[in-house]
Amino acid sequence: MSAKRKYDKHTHLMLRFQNGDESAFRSLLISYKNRVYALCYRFFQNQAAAEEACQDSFHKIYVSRDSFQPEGAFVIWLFAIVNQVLQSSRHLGGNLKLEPVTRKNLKAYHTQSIESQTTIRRAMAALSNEERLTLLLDHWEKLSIPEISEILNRNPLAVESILFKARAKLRIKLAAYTEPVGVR
Amino acid sequence: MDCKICRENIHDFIKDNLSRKETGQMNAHLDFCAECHREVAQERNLSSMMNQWEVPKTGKGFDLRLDERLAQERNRPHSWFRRLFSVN
Repeated sequence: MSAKRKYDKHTHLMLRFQNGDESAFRSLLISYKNRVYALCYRFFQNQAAAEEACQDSFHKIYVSRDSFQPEGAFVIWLFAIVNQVLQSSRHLGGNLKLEPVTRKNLKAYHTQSIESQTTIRRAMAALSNEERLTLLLDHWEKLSIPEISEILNRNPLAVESILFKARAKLRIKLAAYTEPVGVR
Repeated sequence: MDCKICRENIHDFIKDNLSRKETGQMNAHLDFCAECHREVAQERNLSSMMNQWEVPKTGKGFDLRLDERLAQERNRPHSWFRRLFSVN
């Protein structure tokens, strides 16, 4: 007796793509392009480098389709590929120019948001690449510790420790902004 | 609950990842510990500051460049042969 296994929507799309359905890849691209780009942008803080990494990631997904195993969720496989692309990026460790926060690239412009966004970007840039990526997967992608540990190929305790240290560093650097007002 | 355990749980607490029982224990501790209460407020403020970080849109031509790159791959003469024999 064989029970048909249930997959999540995106894993199912990836399996269709493996079987030659190009429209399934298009659906995955639409679902994840902005998320992958945003992660790459926050990682490099440079639009050209982020666009390159995002394109490289989807190209790699396209050509590596046969290595996807449906035992794991698609999102884990995708971000593991993004991680590989980021780790091998020619921009890593180089003197990449951090793009400044300007009126042009903010939706809600006011002096306070320019100042606080500049501060948080600097604080994020000061973290190690590993700390920054772990925080991005945790805070913005809202992935669990076991999921992040699978993506980064680290044990869950190490991931927890990296996250704890990264947030502690940010709290220190951003104390002027995060210090609660009027707390007992 | 003591301060050490409370601080270990702060991140999960603000992400609502704790069980109902653990959340109750955290709240009970925070009711009388001003120092941990302050840490929780700081963590919440940090998260809300991070949430405000906007990302600019991709530049013009991004989608076109990606489509062209994928089309090149699709039309590569040996791509199906390579896939069939798992040669990377």
